[in-house]
Amino acid sequence: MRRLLLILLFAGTATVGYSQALLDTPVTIPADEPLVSFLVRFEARHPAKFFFVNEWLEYYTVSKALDGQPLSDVLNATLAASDISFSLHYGYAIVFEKDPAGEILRYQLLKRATAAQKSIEELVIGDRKDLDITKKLALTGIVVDEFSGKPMVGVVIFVNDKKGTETDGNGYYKLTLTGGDYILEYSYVNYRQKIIDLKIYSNGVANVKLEETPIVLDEVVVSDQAVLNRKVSQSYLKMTDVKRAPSLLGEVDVIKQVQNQPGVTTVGEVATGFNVRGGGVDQNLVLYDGVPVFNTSHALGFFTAFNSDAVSQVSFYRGGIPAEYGGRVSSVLSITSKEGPFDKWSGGGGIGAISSYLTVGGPIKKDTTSVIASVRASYSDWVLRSIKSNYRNLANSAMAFYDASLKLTHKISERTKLNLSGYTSLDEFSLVNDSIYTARNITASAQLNHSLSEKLFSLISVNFGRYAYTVREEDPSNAFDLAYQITYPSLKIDFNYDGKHKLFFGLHNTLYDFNPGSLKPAHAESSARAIDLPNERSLESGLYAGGNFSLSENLWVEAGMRTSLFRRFGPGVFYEYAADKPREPANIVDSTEFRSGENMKTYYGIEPRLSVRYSLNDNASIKLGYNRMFQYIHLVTNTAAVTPVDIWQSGNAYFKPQVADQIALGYYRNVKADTYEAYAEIFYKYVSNVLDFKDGANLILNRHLETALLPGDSKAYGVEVSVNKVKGRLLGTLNYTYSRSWRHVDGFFQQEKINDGAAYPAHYDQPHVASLNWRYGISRRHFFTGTFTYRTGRPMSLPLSGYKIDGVPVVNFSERNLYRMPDYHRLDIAFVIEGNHKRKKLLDGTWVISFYNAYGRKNAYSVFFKDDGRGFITPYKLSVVGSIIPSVSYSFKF
Amino acid sequence: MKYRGFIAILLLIISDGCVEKLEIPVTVTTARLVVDGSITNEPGPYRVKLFLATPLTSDIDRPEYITGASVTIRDDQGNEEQLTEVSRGIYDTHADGIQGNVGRSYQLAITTADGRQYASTWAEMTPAGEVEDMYFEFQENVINPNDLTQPQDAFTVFLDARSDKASSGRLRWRWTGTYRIKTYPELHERFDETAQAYVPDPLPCSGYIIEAGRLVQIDTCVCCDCWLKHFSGKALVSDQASVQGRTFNRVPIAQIAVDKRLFYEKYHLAVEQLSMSEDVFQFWHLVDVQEESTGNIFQPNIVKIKGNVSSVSDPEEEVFGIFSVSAITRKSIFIKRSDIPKLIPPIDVVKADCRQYPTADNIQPPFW
Repeated sequence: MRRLLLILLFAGTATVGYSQALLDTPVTIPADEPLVSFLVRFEARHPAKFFFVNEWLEYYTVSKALDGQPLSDVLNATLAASDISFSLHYGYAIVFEKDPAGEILRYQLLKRATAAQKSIEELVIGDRKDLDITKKLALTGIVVDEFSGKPMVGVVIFVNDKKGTETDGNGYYKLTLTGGDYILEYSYVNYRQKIIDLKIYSNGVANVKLEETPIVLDEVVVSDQAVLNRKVSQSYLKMTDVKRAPSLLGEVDVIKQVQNQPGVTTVGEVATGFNVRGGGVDQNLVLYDGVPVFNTSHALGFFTAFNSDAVSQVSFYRGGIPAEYGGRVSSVLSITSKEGPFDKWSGGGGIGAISSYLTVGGPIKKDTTSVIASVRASYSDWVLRSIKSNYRNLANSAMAFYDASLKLTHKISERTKLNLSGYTSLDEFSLVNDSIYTARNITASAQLNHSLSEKLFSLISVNFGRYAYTVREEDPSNAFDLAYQITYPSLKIDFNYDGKHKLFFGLHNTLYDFNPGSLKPAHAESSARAIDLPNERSLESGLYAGGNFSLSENLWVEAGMRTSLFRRFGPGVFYEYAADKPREPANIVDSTEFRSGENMKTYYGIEPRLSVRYSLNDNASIKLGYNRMFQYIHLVTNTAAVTPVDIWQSGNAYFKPQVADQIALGYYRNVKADTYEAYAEIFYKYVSNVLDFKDGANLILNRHLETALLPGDSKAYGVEVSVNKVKGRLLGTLNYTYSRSWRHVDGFFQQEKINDGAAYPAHYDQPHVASLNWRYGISRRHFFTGTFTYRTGRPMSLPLSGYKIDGVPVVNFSERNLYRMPDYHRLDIAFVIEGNHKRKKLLDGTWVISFYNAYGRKNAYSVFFKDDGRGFITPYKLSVVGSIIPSVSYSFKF
Repeated sequence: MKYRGFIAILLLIISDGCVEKLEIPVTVTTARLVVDGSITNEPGPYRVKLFLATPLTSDIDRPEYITGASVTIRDDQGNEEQLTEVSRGIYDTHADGIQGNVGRSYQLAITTADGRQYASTWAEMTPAGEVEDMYFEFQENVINPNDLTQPQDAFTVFLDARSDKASSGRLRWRWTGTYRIKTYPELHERFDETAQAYVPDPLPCSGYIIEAGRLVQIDTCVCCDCWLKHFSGKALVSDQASVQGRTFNRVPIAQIAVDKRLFYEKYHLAVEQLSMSEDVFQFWHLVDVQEESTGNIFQPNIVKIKGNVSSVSDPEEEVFGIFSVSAITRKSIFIKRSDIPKLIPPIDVVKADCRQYPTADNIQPPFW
């Protein structure tokens, strides 16, 4: 060590010696001898001093052949082809220096790779003792796809940041290296880069498996994810970001992250439904492995119903929606579950304040069949049980939920793959007053992927979906069971052609079987009256085709067309109302009964879709999106948020399809060498036949829902601005949206108008919405993340005056949605401590300490009215979250 | 749905949420005319009240009345009668004046002192149908069932009603409860300053005096027994969805708390069933919905209520209230103290004049 210090000292003040005498001294080399021992021997006989690091020189041997040569020649010859040089100082000191460039480069490469959280594998070939730096060594190997096991052609291998070679047609590669330390990088588009920290001392083999990126949960980096390449109004969510974001009680929440996207709003904490660009909560198509999911939340909206550990990819479209999607008019949120790993068993899990989850997956038959199972369950009863209250039965109340998913992947052949996946979620509340509420989602799908040729792929899916809820009241005097259910099996056939232009086309068919509600007395003494609304059946079909076309270097177009057909068929009864009277049950003049299978009403829609991208230069592009979409099933609600007893209603003669036309135009730009991505989009959306409730409407178990709802149209427009810092220690996104959403209901009769037929703001109209998300890397494993959200308060109506008629107080409210609730803002912060990033270890754990609502704002969830005892009512605001909520959660991988 | 409220309470407690009074912007509202009038098939006089809607900060029972208006009720046969203002803003027909008849149509017309004209829609008086049966059930802890401190037993009164075909099942019910109360004015005491103690001081209306330190009855008591009234005070309308044929069965109409003062002797409940026109029914239906949604902490079903009176001179002007045209049918029952299947304490000793209770009357009602 002392010698090393001296070297460094000299290195700084190195001067060429005034006397070359020492270097000209001839040396005697009786036999081959290690360089170090030669130097020691030389020092003993001559007035010389050598400064060196043992490890640098220990592999070198002076050859007998150099006997009698001058010292300088001997050293030059011995150290030729090495990165070690020497210099003479003060006539007696010879200092050996190693060229630092190589070592620094290696160190930098390692640092960069760890910062980017790439996996680094250490590989030692041969023994250090065998090192012969004069010999050229051969490193060979094969690169294969980890998933399929297929050799990969054209994988580029970088050696110390310089291109070394590429794999050949069989996936083989060969590198010629001198012994020593190297950083090898194996790169291939769409695959996770592999880095080998190589120490090579003899010929050897390095076989490498590359993972396709979407398979690894942490790094969902889709190749065209860069903002310039995305389609208009499209977002991908990185699951890593989702997991590192602060969350309520530490529960990782995909839907809550969607709510942070520009153009997306929500009405409050207890609402996982979300509103996209002025659309209703029912206008979002949420797909889990291609099957729509109706209830996306647990615990009335506190938590999302999807276990993020089982999710591999989430893509979200709020405009320019491709032709393959249909049936909802505002947005598409497509969630793809993970496939199990094909090489070895692994898993992960987490422990939170409310629930815990576990995911395990692995090969059933290596490289052929894999399985992955994931389950999440709550254990939140204790929260309720620990509450002291005057409310009877509260101690017996319970709130529980679980969700589980299972996916089996089997490679039938090189070209055919079968996926079987299932998902279920259950929520249960047993409440004071003996009411038990249960909601359940079930989806299942069988997907057969088949490559018909090198370029043509097919996907056939047979799916099953069900959403159901029950409410049970156990108090004998009015005990009842209320049940609601939708069952929706579907068959989908999709084709993809991957040629010069990408083409896609397919056919989707979904059968809906609605059970709009039944109520049965659940006790002999019960005063509840049995009601059973007849089932309603309908069939929705979609035929679509589209393609991606690169028309020129700068112009890219995705165009498509979907035609949809909807049939409501019997059995059923069609009620006819008097034409000259408001549509009321009392005004039914005739009814027609339809037999089973008989066509009651048919609608069809032609839905053009277009997405255009024009690159102005390397850093900027303009994008345009247009879509027309049809929605044939409707959510019937008289609240702003999705609540557990909301009713989905099939389209019929009275409920016409909602038709949305949306146009969006955006300007996208990268700034400062892609450090920042920024864009601005404007949109305009018009939807016809949206439903709003009539004043005083009763929606539950209503045989004549058409008398309780009014059709109208909605209009929304806005500007979305987003700035995203994507590189560096501090990453962040700032989104701002200005948008308005108006509704307009103007029926013929006074009762069939809302607000006298004038436009009024929708329940979820929130003009200003801003959010700031950040993640600051305190170190490689420690992050400080946060989210700040601001939204204009939701519209509401307020009581203005009152009067008594025949002794009964009546309150006069303002026109619908004329006033606003107080503005909403909230700060959430979290500290994330990740386990170290070594690939090989038993357990990789992450702690998330989060503070939800950090400054304890009492945001209004709703405004409601209490009788003040004088016949008047006073408005109160309800804050569901009234203080800061800290939590700690732990997740792990193995 | 009731249970939603409970869910929200749970969530509140869990998350330390809270309810706070919302400070709302002071809204300047234009004074709006309210009309509260009716004509029935029973003998007059019929009454129409004209007043202004009260701002939320004022007393709803003390509205500003509109005086000096010309108020007319007319029928479809050309008869009409101008009402007389009997007190500020209260207009009555003459006892021997216009008489409501089933099958006729009626309209109310108003001209205010400043010349603005208002009119109700024409409405036909349809038959009232019939209250076929009325019965009650004792139910334990049905009042405040979830509040451990104050659950209370009650009688729930139901009725089975039948509407006439012409009324399309549009019915409204209102009820009056009458009960006898007993007080002990003869035991009244006053605080004597010199003796520093309470001394007997029977109220004169008790008929008792103190003579030689003893209570002596010298007359009948006129303030020991009173009859008090309860009114429904709520909009009770027929549920159009649950009509079976033209009958409404087991309609819960009232909930009478089992209380020692209410059941000193017995409780009389008289129900009136009223037929009405479609727009008036709609008015009452919405009032009913408004009452129900009060206190619902989820987005309440805000209801904008309009009546059947509008301005003739300015169609844009908002006018509230109704002129209802109804036929009435009645039925009543007694609930006796002996119907209570539990022990109930005797009435407490209230040393006061029973006539001081609101709605109290010391004359025994004829039906008692």
